[in-house]
Parts: sequence; C-alpha cells; structure tokens
Amino acid sequence: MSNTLSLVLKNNVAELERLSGQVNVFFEGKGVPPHAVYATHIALEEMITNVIKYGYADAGAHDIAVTLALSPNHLDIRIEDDGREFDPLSAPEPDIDKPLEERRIGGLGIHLTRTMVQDMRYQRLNGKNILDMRVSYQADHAPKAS
Amino acid sequence: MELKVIGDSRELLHLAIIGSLDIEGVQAIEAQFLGYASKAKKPAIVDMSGVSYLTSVGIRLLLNGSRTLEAGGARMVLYDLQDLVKDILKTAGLSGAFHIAPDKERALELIGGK
Repeated sequence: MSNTLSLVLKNNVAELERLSGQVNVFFEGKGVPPHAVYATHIALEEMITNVIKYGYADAGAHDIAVTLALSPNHLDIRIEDDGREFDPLSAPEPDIDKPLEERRIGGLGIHLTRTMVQDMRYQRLNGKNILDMRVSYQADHAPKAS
Repeated sequence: MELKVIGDSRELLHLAIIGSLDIEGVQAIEAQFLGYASKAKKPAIVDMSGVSYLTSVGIRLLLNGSRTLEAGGARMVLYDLQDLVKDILKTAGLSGAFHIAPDKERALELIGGK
C-alpha cells in the first residue's frame, strides 16, 4: 500500500472524475478521517477546476501534475501546471455578503480551499505554477473543528 | 447525480438531489433544476439527504435555484443535509444564505413562514 500517489491529468474537466476515483482508491484502508478526505477532494477539485477553466490562453492540451504524499498526521498535496502565472494566495477573499453574481469568478472555490487546508504555498518556477497544500488530521480521530 | 421530483402539487414542489454536487453532478442536473425553479412560482423543499459532496459549483447551483424561486415570490428550503455538507456551507459563510431545515416537517414549517 503506497503512501504516495502521482498522476498527470489533461486540462479537461472530465479528468476530475478520474482523479476523484484514484484519490478514493489511494485513501482506502489508510485510516484517514472523513473530514480530511473531504478536504482533500475539495482542494483538488476547486484548484484544478480553476486551472482548467482559467489557466490557459490557448485551446491546446496541457498537463497538470498532481502528487499526494501521506504521513501519519497530514497529507501533502502538490499541483503543478504550465498555465498562466497565478497565485491563488493573492486572490482577495470573496465578499460572501455580496450577491453571487457580483462575486469574482473562482473566488468561492479558492476561499473554500483556503479554509479547509491547514497550509497553502505557491511558487512560480521554470514557467510552472506549483501549489503545495497540507491537510492535517489526528490519526484515528476526527480532526478538531476550527 | 440525480434530480428526483418527489411531488409537484399546486402548493408545493418537492425535489430530491442524490449524488455529488461537483462539476459533473451540476452539469447533469443544472438545466432541469433551474428549469423547475424558474417555472415553479410556488414554494419548494429539497431533500438533500442524498447529497454526499458539495463544491463551489454546487453551492452556486443551489443559490441560483433559491434566488430564481425568490424572484418569483416563493421560497426554497433545503432539508436533511449531511454533516459534511453543512460544514462546507458553514466554512463558505453561506449557511445564512439558504433556508435550511433538519427534516421535511420543519422544512414545511419554514415554507409556511413559521
């Protein structure tokens, strides 16, 4: 049973289902609490959706590399893409009191991710966006509510 | 992802959503869900017990449906949300943007404005 998952997706929303399936298989039998599994799925779906929908100036095929690395009390996630330079940490928090139609595109997804992961770091390196996130949990116990 | 019509009387539209409200789930039911919301012109209750997963696109769909109904003078109440789904709405700061009830009976009370 490996504690690392690496895969490469194409920039197509249909790939999210494949990713979700692989992540579910990855978590099987590893004792990660449901809330951490959910946070992982949310973080991956929201961030990769943004890459696919807004990250490219062309209509061509691009690779998005995803790596998960599991430790006893946290999971590290890395998403790497060659899209436009974009630091999700610099995106302002959405005004959740504004009507939905007035909110920035993608703002809610980034907001959800930021609140569900415990650490988030971005770097731009060799023409690629590299986003690192950490989901922390207490092994064999549900994570404490924040 | 499935959208079921549990009941559609003159007074009430009763729907159930079953599955994951992620991008694919939303794409599967969006037109139908918003179609019901725009044509209903009456209160709606939505059984959410079968929704296991909710992302930002799912939240947007529910908000759009709710606002469409409200624009027609009616109210939409979501009921029997799973804990993780409730957590997501709370995390997004959107619990107050929806009418939410623990069960169908309380949802019907909220529709009545009690």
